[in-house]
Amino acid sequence: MGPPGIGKEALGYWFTHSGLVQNDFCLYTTRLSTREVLQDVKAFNVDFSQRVPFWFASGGGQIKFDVNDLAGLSYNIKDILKKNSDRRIRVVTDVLSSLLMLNQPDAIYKFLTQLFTDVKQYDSVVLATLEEGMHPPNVLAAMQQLFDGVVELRLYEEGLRVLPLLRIRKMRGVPPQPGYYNFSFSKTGMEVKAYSG
Amino acid sequence: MSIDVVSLIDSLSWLVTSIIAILVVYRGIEIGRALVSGVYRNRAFWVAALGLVIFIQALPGYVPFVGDVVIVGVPLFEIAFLSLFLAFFAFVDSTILVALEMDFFHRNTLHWRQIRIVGYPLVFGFIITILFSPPLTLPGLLMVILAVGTIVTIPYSAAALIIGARRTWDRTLKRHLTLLGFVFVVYLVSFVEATTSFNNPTPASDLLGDFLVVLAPYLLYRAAMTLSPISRIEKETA
Repeated sequence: MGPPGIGKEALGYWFTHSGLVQNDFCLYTTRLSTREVLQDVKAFNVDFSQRVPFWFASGGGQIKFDVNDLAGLSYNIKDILKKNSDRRIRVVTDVLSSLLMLNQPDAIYKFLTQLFTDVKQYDSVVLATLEEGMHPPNVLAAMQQLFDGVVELRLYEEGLRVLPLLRIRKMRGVPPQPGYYNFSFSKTGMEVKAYSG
Repeated sequence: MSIDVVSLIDSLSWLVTSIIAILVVYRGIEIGRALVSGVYRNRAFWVAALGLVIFIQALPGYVPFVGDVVIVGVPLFEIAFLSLFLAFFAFVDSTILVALEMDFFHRNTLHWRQIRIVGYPLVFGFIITILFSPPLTLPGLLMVILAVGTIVTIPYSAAALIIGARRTWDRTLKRHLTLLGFVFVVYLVSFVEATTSFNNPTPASDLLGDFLVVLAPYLLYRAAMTLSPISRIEKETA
């Protein structure tokens, strides 16, 4: 989670790319069309020309994504996971904020609770991006409670300098990590280093 | 209030404007460097560029000899003031194009895609004509600038920005664009105030002008800061 422009999508792209390199099955669920995503991906030097994720997108993908059709979203994700249950699976999505904007938060909470129960039956990881400024604090808290891990990307002030830093807000199975981490995107991926401010 | 105090406030207002403009430049560059998304980076760098232009334009207000410098036969203060129009127009153009892009329906707000094609040669030609044509008297020159600037560029840009902001789904950009719209509204009010009180300035009109001169870069600074929330590092956890 984090404000717009901070690099959440880039993290999603590199996470997908890394999965594809390791021959994981990667499902990219997006409110955008594949054309728009591929255009954006180029800006971060991520190469989807050789290995391509399975697209669940509003246009140009294998399955058409409709932000108003929660039942269809759930059914399609479960169906795709079932068909690829023999592989490690990565699900990357940027639809969470859109879903929360267009539906009642409690409906999305119930929807995600059920979806995660189903997804956890497989060897899978779901990475979802959440726009921080778009939702009230109680909704953000509910989403943090629902996910096993929460990574926060934000700008911080250090004297007169402005730094993009990463914090692990929560990670199930890992002791609390109260520190900050510097992060940046290079041509080979996301680089994270301990912050020594 | 004595004339000396009004004069002092006038000089101080330009100094404060410059300080805020430097902060805008610094913050714009820092935020632009820290952000990853092209749209937000570009917005931050554009805000920094506009801050730089405002800084240069404000210099003669408190450093008199800067205003006396002549480049290619044209006073520096005149070049700075006129270049502000081109910088404003380029800035607004880039901002509105982003707003059109972020509009879900990609509506052509106030026919901006057509206006910009006519706008650039008009503004550029206007500046060149003013700079290199036979000298006009200062009041006459100012009147032409104020007329064109006030009637065409600023209110139209402000309207396009505010409408564009209303049509943008992205809340961060919406806040940013709305504040920029207000920056241009303040400049519009400032120009109108300067025009109406040019021949008969009063201490009240001078003070109002000084207030507006400071308010515009302050709003620009706020606009830069809306591009991304900036938190403070909690030292005990760092």
